[in-house]
Amino acid sequence: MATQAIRLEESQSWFQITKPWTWTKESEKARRRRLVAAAQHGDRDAFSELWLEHAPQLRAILLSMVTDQDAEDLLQDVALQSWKSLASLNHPDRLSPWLCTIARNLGRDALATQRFRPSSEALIDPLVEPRSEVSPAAQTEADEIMSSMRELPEAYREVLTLRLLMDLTGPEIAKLTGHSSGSVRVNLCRGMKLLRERLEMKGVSP
Amino acid sequence: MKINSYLWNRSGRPDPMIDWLVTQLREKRSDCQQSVRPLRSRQLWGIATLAALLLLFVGLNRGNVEPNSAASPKPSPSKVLAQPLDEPTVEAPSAGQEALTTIHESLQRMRERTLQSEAVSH
Repeated sequence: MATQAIRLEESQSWFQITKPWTWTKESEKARRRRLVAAAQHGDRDAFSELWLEHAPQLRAILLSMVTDQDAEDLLQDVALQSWKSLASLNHPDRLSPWLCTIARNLGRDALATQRFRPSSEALIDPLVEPRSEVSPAAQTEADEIMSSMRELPEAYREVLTLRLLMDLTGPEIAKLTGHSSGSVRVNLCRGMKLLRERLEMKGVSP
Repeated sequence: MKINSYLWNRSGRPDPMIDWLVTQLREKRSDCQQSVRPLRSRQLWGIATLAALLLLFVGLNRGNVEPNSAASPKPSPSKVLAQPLDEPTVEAPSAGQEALTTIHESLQRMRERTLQSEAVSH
C-alpha cells in the first residue's frame, strides 16, 4: 500500500515536471488558497498581499461607475468590507469574483444614495487639479472617454473599462469577474459598438 | 454575432480605435496601478506631517519671544540715560570660571614646589 502511494507520488511529480505550466498554475492556485486561508484567520499581511493584486482592477470597476476621486474613496470601503467579511468566503478560488461583487455593490449603493457626484461633474470640478505632466487636452479626452463609457448600460461598461482601461483580454476579464466567456464576449462587442457611436457623436476619435 | 478577435484577445488585425482608446487611458491606468496604497494612511501621514510642522513652528517662535515685561521689568528711561555708554559691563565670574582658576592656581603651586625640590636635591 505504501509502495503504491510512493509510486503515485512519483508519477504525479513526473507529470508536473513534464508539464511545468501545469505545475506553475497549480502552485499559483495553492499560494492563493494559502493566502486566503491565512487572511481568514486574521493575517493582515496575507490580506495585504491579496489586496495588492486586486486593487487596480477593483478601482477600474469603480471607475466604470463613479469619478476618479470617488473611486479612490470607495476603494477604501471595498478594502474594509472585504476584510471584515472575508470569513464568509467559502471558496478561496472565487476570491476575485467575490471582490468584484463587493466593488460593484458598493458602487451601485453609492450611486443609488447619491453619495457621490455624477460622472459629468468631474470635468468642471474645481477641486480636481489637472495633472501637470499630462496635457489638458489629453486629460479632457481621457475624461470624455470615461464619461462616455459610464453612460453605457452596466453590463457593457464594466467589461469595456477592464478591456480598455486595464488592457485586459476577454479571457482575463472572464476569470476576474467570474462571468462566462460567452457573456463577456457579447458584452464587449456590443459595448464597443455603442461606445464607437457615442464617441463619434461627441467628435472624440483618433 | 461577429466577433472582433482584436477586442477579445488582441489577436488578428489590429483595430486602430481600440489602440487609440487604450493609449488615451494610459495615464488613468497608471493611476489605478498606483492606487494600492491605502488613502487613509496617506491622509494620516499628511495630518501627522502638518502637526509636526505646526509644533516645530510654535517651538521656534517660543524661543524668539521676548521676556515678559512682568518677569523682568524694563529699566526706566532715566536709568538708561544715566548709564555711561562707553563703560564696559563687568560681569561677575561664574562658579565654573572660579573653579577653573582655583585648579589652575593649585597646579601652578605644585609645579613651583616640584621645581624647588629638584633644585634642592641638585
